Amino acid sequence: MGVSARHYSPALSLTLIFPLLLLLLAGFLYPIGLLIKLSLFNPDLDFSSYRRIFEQPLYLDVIVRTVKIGLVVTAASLLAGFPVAYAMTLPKSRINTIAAAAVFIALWSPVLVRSYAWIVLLQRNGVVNRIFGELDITPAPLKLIHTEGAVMLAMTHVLMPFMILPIFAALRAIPAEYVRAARNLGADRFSTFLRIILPLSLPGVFAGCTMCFILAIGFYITPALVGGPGTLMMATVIGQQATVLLDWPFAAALATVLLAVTLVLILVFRKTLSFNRGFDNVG
Amino acid sequence: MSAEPNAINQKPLVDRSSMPRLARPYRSALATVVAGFVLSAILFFLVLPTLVIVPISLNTAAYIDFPPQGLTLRWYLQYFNDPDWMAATFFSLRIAVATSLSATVIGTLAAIGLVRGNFPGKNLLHALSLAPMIVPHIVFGVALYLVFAPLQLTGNFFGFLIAHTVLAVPYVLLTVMAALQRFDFTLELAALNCGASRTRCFVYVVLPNIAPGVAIGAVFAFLASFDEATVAFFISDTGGKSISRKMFEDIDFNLTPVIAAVSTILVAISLLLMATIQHVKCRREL
Amino acid sequence: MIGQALTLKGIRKRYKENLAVNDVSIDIDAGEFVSILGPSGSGKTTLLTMIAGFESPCAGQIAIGGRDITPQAPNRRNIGLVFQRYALFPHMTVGQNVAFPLRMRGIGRAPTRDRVKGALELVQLGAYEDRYPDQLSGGQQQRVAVARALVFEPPVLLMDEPLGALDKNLREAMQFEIKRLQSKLGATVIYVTHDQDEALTMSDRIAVMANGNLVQIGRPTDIYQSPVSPFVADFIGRMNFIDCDYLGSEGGEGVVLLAEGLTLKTPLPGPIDQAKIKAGMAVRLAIRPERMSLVQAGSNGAIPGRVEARIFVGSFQLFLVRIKSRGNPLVQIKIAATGEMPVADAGDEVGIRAQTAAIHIFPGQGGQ
Repeated sequence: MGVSARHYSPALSLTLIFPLLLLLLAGFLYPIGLLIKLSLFNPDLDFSSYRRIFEQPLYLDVIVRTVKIGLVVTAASLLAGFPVAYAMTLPKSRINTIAAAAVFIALWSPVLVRSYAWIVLLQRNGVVNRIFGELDITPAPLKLIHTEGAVMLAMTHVLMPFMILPIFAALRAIPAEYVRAARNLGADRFSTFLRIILPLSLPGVFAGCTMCFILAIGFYITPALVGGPGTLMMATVIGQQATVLLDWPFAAALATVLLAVTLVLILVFRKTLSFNRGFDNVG
Repeated sequence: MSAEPNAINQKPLVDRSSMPRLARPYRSALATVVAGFVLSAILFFLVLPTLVIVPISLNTAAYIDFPPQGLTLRWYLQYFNDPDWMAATFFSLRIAVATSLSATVIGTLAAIGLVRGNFPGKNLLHALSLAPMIVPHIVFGVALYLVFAPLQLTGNFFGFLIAHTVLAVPYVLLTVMAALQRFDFTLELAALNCGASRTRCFVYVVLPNIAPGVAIGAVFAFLASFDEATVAFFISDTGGKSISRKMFEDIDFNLTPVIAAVSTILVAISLLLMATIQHVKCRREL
Repeated sequence: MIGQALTLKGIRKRYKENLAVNDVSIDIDAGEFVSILGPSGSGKTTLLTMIAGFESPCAGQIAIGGRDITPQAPNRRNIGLVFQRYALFPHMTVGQNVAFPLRMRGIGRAPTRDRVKGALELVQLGAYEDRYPDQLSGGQQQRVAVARALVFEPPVLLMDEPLGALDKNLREAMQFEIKRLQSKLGATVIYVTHDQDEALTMSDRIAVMANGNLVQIGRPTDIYQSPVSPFVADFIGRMNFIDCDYLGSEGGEGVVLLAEGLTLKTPLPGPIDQAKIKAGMAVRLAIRPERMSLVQAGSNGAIPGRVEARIFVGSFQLFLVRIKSRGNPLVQIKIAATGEMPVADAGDEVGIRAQTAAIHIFPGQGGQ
């Protein structure tokens, strides 16, 4: 192997990456390794925690609910997010600036704050119920908070920017000439959208859906605050088992299952995710 | 093409004159209005939560009240005067600043190594270093809790620092690696040709050009730590509590407009920092 | 014949303070091949954009076959357009791309299939129907773009610098192809280009544009031999410019003063410039390099000069001669290479002659 001006020597490279390597080994891989070990060894090899997860209907329910909420939230984010991404590409500067600003505000407000805001909106004497009360829409305050609907609504809100940005990137990459060509060849605006813009935006749609779903199934903050005992998701159950019920091996098993599912999803869908060119799209 | 006489060129191939002439502009106008309405509703949905906490934080009533009855700053004052809140705030700030520093240093060095370096397992390390972004925070948080709790390390500054640096480094890596890859490598070759050594070349030519990327990465790292709620929840305790953990607890047990005031401040900090970055990015127009 | 006449009347387009197209009027006959030639920023692409309907003119009318199409949306104009970078839809096969305009017009499956086949045969790509654009070379993509623009038999075909991205040999082959198709179909073609060789070889007429104005329109020979201004003269082919003073007319010819004691006979100023050129005024002469000859220094009626360089260009030689007239300009003389020894060498004193008829006379600096 010759020496190239382009590359640093292996010795220098290894020195540069050494702090990161140390950090990842000690601060990331070790705790997670310990987590997995704890789920399996108690102190001997023991699959009882895993059996509990897949045999007890309570936990199966949780898994099903988590997947269901993940799918619903992803679909809702797609339906609501695509128009926003499209609006961000429109040439008239006012519309796309407003849309971009709205996405910016939603994306960079801390998740905790946004979840708290949903409590403010949906609680028994919260904003929505108050307005309904003033306008006499309903006789008594509705139970909005701590329902599955509330969790879906709040999570859709939190995850929408992660759907919008990949779609925006895909739309923006479509050369304006294709639209002109389609128009010149006789397509009206609707046909142009349906046959040219939509198909070419699909890589972004897939990337957004994948990201949204993966984030949704692992979400803790929003379901913990906005959800209730009847809306347990994987993450909330894990938290409960670890800190309240103190059944650490079980919590570790649940966490390992979630981790495994996440990793599998990422591996299977890594092609769609590689479309998303990382942080250039965000912010 | 066919040799038949072309009657086609006398009129368009699809006779659209059969459509009522007036309906067309009205139909598209109606479609535009409906689309605009739907879009506005969605955009409103996006910003509503962020905006709604502001009037709540300024409301005179002690319970969550809407519409606000009067304006007051007392919730903000209460926040600044509360020793628990202030302790949590400073704890989070110290950690965020320290995280920003450590993540930026570790991340920038590693970015250089990953982009310019040549060593076995480079791709594996790259994938691994982005892993903290992929792994759900609940998994990482519980894993850390399970490591720290037996050792009484919850609420510990350095425990937090390590945890948050792990979470923040991927952001620094992404931005600095992008900056390095955008950097025109022929500039470095020109510097070498002019006689600069490898190090001087890096310090005088490469570093100034990637500095904005490094700075942006530092800000991302700060926010990644300051805004982080899940992991912080699990590794806080009474001795060291992050601001997000305190918010979490108060939402459960002590729901007052003080939380709205704190929220407004947090939003303001995040949005201001990101707006500054956006502004810098636009001005440089990399 | 599928072509129809295209008329542009008083087309004007303004972008903020910039007048991109200024009062352009052109009448194009059915089946004619007209090139719009000009440097970048001349407004030629803007003009094309307006004919296609992507922008509206601020003033003026566009008509095809006598029908005013100015208010029509771009998808209803039924005009063929070949884009500079082809704009083939990447998610559709070649066949689907070419079928697209037929689909938009609601033509049934069977006739569409036949017409797509026919269009692809026309551009000699019949076997490529199921390929995707990214599997094709630049030249092949070009031809698919042409097929797609022709498949619905439009009365007018617009081409926006379609050969710019191709290498020289391919470009020449494609020029020939396009001309062949055009005469076979009788299509009316408007061809935008900045390459004057392309315009000269392909067009029935050339419209030269500069700064948004139509400067001259005419057959290639007319544009080449009778340019109406120094700009057109210089834009098409090479041109030598010599500044001097107009002395007046004498026996049906003009006389100019190049330097002390050195006069030259020129044609009389043309009708446009007659008002501007009077005795005593500065004028600018324009002469093609191939219309000048080298003679012995001191010959009767020759302009004295010194050869600064002799350049061998294959089929001809180029002599750069510094002549002894106002400003000591450097003129180029183009002489066919005949296999004999070069006519003169660097450093030689020579004389330059030009036939009176080959000289163009324009107003001096300040005139267009």
